[in-house]
Amino acid sequence: MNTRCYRSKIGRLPFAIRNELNERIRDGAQGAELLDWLNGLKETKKVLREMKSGPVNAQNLTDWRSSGYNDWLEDQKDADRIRRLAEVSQTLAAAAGGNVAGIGCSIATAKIMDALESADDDKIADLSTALVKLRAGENAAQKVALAEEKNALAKEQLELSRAKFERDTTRLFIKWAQSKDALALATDKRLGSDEKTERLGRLMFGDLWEGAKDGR
Amino acid sequence: MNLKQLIIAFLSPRYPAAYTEASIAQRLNASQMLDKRCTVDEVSDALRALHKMKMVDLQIDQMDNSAVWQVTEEGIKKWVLEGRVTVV
Repeated sequence: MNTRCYRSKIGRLPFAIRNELNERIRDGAQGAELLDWLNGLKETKKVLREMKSGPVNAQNLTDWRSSGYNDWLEDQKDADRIRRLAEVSQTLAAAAGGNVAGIGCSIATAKIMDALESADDDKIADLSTALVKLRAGENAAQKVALAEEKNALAKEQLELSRAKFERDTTRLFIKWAQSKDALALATDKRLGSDEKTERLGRLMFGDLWEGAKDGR
Repeated sequence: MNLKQLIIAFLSPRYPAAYTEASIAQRLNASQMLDKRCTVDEVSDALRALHKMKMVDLQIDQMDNSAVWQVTEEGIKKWVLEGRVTVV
């Protein structure tokens, strides 16, 4: 951990400088470049004066890479692991109905975190897989629900169309039942059913009737 | 690192998790990152100081009226700047 006590030249530098040094090493900075930077800092000069020692050299840097820098890398891994667990915990708390922005969810997240932190990596991997499956199942269920909703809407639309058709037909019947021409055609015993339909259609709908027949 | 820094190092990576003072004290002591064990009162004082610095937020758990603490965005920024030291 970064709280470890290092007695080397670099180890005695202020925390912020050691941290920046670690970041520079991680980002691939070369030894000479690092030494120039380190030895140019007034904080480094102060530490070296107190230690009555010469400038930080390549060997000091090599030693630091195998001690402080390695510890720092481990710390970063810990931070990343905890951060990932926090995300999983928050997802679980939210999935259980918690409002993500609410304090209830934050408290639940903390309790789930406690459980996850004491679990081993295999169990956490199992849990993550289960979560992914749960999410996939939820998505599938949502799709089914959406399809059912669409079907219900289509059915409702059909019912409405049918009701409108019945109402319109009834209105037409009332209108044309009062027409002498229509009544004469409908009751003409000399005409067959097809002929009656044809003539009544032409009377009631005019050109539209011809169009309907042609499929226009 | 002092107690305040360690509290930030405990809460930040776990954001948005919110913890009671007792939980924080117990976890810090378990981490063995302090020179000597801390008490709940010491943690409570440190949290209040951090609260004045806007590094943590105090919330009340409606279930049992207990106080829980959560790191703020400011606290996380400070944590990142200080090298993301993490209390495991």
